[in-house]
Amino acid sequence: MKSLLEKIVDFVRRLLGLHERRVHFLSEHVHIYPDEHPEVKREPVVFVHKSEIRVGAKIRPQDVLRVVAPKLIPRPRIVKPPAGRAVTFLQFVMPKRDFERVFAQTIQDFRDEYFELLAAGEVRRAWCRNVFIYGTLALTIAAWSMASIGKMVAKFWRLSG
Amino acid sequence: MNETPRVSPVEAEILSLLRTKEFYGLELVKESSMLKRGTVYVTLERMTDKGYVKSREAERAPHESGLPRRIYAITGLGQRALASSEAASAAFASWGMVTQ
Repeated sequence: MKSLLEKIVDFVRRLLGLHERRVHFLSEHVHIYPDEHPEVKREPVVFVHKSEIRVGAKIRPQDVLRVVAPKLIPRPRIVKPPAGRAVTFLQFVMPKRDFERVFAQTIQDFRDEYFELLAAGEVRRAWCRNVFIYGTLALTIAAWSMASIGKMVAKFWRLSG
Repeated sequence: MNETPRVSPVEAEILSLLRTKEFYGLELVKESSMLKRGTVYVTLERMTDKGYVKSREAERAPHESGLPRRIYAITGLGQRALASSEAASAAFASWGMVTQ
């Protein structure tokens, strides 16, 4: 597990396209400045300190926080589970009983699989599940519509007979 | 019900699976290649209306969230319908063998 400091060094290295040997990683407790170390003037050097990064020119600590750190530390986001909007829509459109017994079951099956895959670190497959759910929901709506029409026809048939 | 119960192949598949134990819908789909995710719950609902299967809401632990799940089980009528369907299939198969 890389520390935040190591992540910042990696990020700056990638940003500048620096070669491995050109990057000097310094302990966060050591202050080293180019004046004190003439050898650093020959090659581009990344200095990393607890509160600042030096890449030729000084980067101010507030810039590190503002520019670099947000790219390294992903912000936790609260997102809706798969088919979150579809649930709202179907709850509004479908009869309660059919929603609970048909559509909610279909959606919950996918959600369970989705969360299991996410927990296993299989993000790509989880994303595929997230897409696949809409195809299956479309099929379920088609099957449910046909069944409902069939029920109505049978009801009218019985009434007329 | 005096009519002979009519059971489609998909319904017979579901009933034969439910004969052994209770299942969630997804478990049924995983157990059988004949059943599809998109249609299994519509079929189960139709079978509930016919009285072949019954369902109950699965118990959940206090910390669990999400939409409530249902567990499906076969009813007495469902067992009779399946037995009748199997008997009819067997009779039809034996009749085919006799005519050959």
